[in-house]
Amino acid sequence: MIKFYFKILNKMLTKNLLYIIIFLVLLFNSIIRLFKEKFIHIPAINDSTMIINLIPNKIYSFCDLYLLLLFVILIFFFLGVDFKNSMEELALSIGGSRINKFMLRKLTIILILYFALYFVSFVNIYTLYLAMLPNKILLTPLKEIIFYSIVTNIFIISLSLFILFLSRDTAVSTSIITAYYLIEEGLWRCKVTQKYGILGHIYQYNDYESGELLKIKLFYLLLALLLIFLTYKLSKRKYIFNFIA
Amino acid sequence: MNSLKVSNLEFKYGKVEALKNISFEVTEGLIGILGPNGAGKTTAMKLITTLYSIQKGEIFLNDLDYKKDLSQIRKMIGYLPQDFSTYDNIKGREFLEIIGSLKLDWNKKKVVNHVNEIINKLEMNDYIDRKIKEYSGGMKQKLGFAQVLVGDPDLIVIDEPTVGLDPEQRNTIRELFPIISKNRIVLATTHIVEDIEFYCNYLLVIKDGSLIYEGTKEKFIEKAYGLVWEADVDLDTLLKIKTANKVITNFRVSDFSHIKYISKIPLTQNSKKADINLQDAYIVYNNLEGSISRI
Repeated sequence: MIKFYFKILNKMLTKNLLYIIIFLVLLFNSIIRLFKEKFIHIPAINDSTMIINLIPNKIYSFCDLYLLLLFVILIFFFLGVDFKNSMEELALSIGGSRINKFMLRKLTIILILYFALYFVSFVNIYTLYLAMLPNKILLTPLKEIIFYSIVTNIFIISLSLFILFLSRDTAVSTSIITAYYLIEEGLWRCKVTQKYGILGHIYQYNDYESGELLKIKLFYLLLALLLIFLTYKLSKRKYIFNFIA
Repeated sequence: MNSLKVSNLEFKYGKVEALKNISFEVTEGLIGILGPNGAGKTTAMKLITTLYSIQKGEIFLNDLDYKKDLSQIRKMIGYLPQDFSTYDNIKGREFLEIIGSLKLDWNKKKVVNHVNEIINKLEMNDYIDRKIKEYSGGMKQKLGFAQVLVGDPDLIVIDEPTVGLDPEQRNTIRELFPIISKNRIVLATTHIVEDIEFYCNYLLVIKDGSLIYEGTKEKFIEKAYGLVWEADVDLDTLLKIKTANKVITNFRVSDFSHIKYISKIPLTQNSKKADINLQDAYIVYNNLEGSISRI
């Protein structure tokens, strides 16, 4: 079934779209590998007694921002198209399930592809960091990097799905998630939320102490679970009242 | 014998009442649901296809409760929505296989064989392996009819099946009704009477959210008989009749017109009761206050 759905998804919007995405992500990974000094900046250490703890920001910006955002937009287009044609109604009324089985299957295929490419990119950049680090610089523990990255992924994907099912519109969802995640969180580093005393979901370490950051990540993990539950509720029926679009 | 029972169904969009206390029970065969645009037909269909939650009332399909047995009921339904559309970039066969993958437990051989049976049954072999974007309106609608048959459902709901099609395509689509309505309930909503005139054996007529008629097609016509008159009239008389009554047909013959009009009493001396068809009876229903039962 995975093969069949992959084949359908690969031509659903345009011919060979998924192959093109795979090629581009692997190409970028190769470029990063070839020009590693331009991509990863290791700070110079003048004091020979000092040990620096380095945060692998490039992993977060490549895997958890650009790659994640690319796939969030793919999710919007692949699932959002069903709100504009008859597929949502068909899948719900005839699917033999309480939820939209068809959208769930499409989402699963996209997420499988995403996590495969994410894994390749993560390993690629992480190993580059390890290879380039001098003795005096320590990298953030791998467990910590993975935990924070997974929370970011789960939160942004569940938020995106919730926005999509609430607005039922690809363009609206893309605008909202781009404004929130790319601009507010990625580029402005939670400027607006912090200004109003709201904890921002951030992937940069520098803004909070280590313990605080863990609390924030756990809070956003809980929020993500709540959003997944609400999305499940919204996906059970054809949603009549459109709050945003 | 499959059966669908709807009891005291009500539905509101905010404060707007779309359905008012609708009840009916139907069994196998083609059931036509007639009503003007905005009458509440599509809302009723969205409830019957489980797309909307029931606000008030009950629906049972083969004694399964819509409020409790949602998953089971969704296995028993085939649905062709109004303005049916899907992904233009895939082939018709692939689309049917997607529906098959949802309806049947995924067994590739089973899905492929089942889809082939349907393609043969509806004689779609010539174009089924072409991309959907290359289909004409009629071909697309036929694909929609093909997908309702996937999984051999007990209840098929078809919403406005011929809207946007040319007369020839409409006839092609109408001829599919007897094929799909064998041993199952088929609910076909339309505001175009010809869609169901020849093949439906039971009628539901909805007006302003209320069910104003439930019964056979023949009885529907019979009840309207005596309310349609025909006469040859000159232009002045025609204009007088038109001011207060609905003129159904008007054939100009040299200096007079042969007309059919709706009225409880004859309006000219030469008027006589007209033979009427389903279309005429439907116009009578839509133009006289209240249902014919009340007349």
